[in-house]
Amino acid sequence: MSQLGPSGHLLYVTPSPADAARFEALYREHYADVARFVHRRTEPSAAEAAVAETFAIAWRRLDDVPRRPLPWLFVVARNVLRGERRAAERYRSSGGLTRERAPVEASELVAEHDHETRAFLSLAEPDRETLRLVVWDGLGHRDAAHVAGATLATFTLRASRARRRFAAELARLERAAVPAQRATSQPQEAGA
Amino acid sequence: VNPDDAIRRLREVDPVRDFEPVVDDGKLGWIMARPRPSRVPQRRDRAPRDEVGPELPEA
Repeated sequence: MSQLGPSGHLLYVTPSPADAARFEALYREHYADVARFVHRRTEPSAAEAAVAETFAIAWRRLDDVPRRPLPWLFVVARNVLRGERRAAERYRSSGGLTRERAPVEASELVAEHDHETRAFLSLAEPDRETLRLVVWDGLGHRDAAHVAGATLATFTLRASRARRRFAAELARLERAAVPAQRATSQPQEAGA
Repeated sequence: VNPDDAIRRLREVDPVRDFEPVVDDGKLGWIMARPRPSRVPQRRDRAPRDEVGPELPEA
């Protein structure tokens, strides 16, 4: 599919069989990880397009894909999602109608009364993203720092604080739930 | 709540824990049918002579 521009220069190249095989292997090996990464951060109807765009960028920039591609793919996916959110905000601010909540918090889909979910949702977005990268995406601190665009030292500190805040909020919710449980069980005991 | 225990519990509420994405072969073909830009650096500062119009007469 080579194509020449008006000045006679080469605009597009025909991929070599080696490039095609490399990309196909990349796609098959990492599709599920990228799909989960995207589904954790946006709503299902927008996720498929974001995953496809992530791999389309990887196809265009195959020469830039590093030997350990997953953190690189996560960075691309993160940027695709950011671009979509910015576009949705611009469209909304210009008076257009769009989905009310483009950046959906996927964990809202989990039962609302779970203490873990409520504790997670109570955190600030930077803390949530830090925990998503480490706990759900399963990245080590070095790769997570790369995806977050932070230094390893900064990310490690951020992760430690996010863990503490999450544990503290979880404890607070559980403490608050105990008196409520006692209050509901006492009349039954008194009546028995 | 111990932070390690809290993190273990958070792992269990991963919203896509039971989500098993299926590789989409159709999408793979669609992506690979898209052209890949050439990585050869292009000269953008000068158009070919036939794109800049006639030369001005000398003063």
